[in-house]
Amino acid sequence: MGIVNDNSQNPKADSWGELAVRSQSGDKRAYRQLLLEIAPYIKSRISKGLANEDWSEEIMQEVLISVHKSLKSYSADRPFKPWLNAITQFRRTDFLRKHYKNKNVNEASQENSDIFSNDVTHDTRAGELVDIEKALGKIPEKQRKIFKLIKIEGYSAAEVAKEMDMSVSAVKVSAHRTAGKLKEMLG
Amino acid sequence: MVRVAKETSNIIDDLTSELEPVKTLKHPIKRALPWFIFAILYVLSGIFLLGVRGDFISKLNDSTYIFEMSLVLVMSVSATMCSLWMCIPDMRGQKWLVATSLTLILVVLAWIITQAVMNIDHTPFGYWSHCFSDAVFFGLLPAASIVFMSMKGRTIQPYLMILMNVIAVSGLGYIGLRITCASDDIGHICVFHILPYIALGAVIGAIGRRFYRW
Repeated sequence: MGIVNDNSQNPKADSWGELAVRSQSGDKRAYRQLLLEIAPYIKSRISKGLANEDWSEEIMQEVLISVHKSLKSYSADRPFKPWLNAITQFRRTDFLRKHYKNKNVNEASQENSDIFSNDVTHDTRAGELVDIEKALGKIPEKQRKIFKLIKIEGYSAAEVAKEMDMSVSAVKVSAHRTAGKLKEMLG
Repeated sequence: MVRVAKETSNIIDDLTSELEPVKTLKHPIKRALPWFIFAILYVLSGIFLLGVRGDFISKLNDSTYIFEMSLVLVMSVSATMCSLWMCIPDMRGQKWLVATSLTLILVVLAWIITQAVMNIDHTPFGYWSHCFSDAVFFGLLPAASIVFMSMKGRTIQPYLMILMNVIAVSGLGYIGLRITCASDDIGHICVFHILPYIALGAVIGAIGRRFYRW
């Protein structure tokens, strides 16, 4: 028994499926169109019930990167939307889990009076730069190096990829994730 | 005209620029079959190496033994299929596989617990049995290969994936042990046939999220 593509009732989702198949064969124009079309859809799905409006943009970007990474798992004989929705839900939950986990750590640490003497607003602390450096210090060494090379020293992702013996995609994802983590750490 | 924020637009540009043709994942059944055949052949070669239990022919007439082996085999097949379907974010719409596998796991657990409650007369701690190392032997390569295969997919349920991987492997390993080991003592089975796979599950569970991170 063959599996029927039930996108036939939804012309837009059906066209996304076609665009995804063309993207799998390397059609960059189709891929760009697909990402541009699904971005607002993803955002509309994730923004419901989020405590912070800014998060939806961040999660949407994570979903787009995830779609890129999992493009090979999409099957032409299946509807596109359930595949996309599964990834969207996964990234949304993952984001919230990480966020609240980190929030709990910060709340717990506020009970410790040491945190106030180490805070950037304290007289003995020089300012925001110290805070960023401190946050960067908590990032794993490899990710920190990639972030510094791209965002601080201005190297291109391709150059860093060559230096680190990694794919350009992996370097960009790592830099993007580090930026997200820093944003979260610095509130 | 579709409007997206500047940073998102940059990400789309980056992702588009690095797009290359991708080789799509084969249908899960086409991926599950080779693994299952490999795992069965591996366990059979293990049985050949370790030797079949002396009373194996007579055990084939033991309905309890046959029921137990069949139940574990069905559980293992189901967990294998579930593992491979879970490599796809939406599981191709076959989410019932998870419920089926979990139900079978519970049935096997209930069977073992019932057997233990009814038949256990001692706990075989304090001595070493070769079954422990045999269990590790039966599980090692199939576990490595199913984790490797699962890593090629993109699961959205890493912990469930680990559970299914471990159940798929331990089911086959358990069958291998029950064919090579002559002991039907439920205490021995729990400690030397099942505990190694619980340990394997704990190890993979502790580090498994890294395997399936994407």
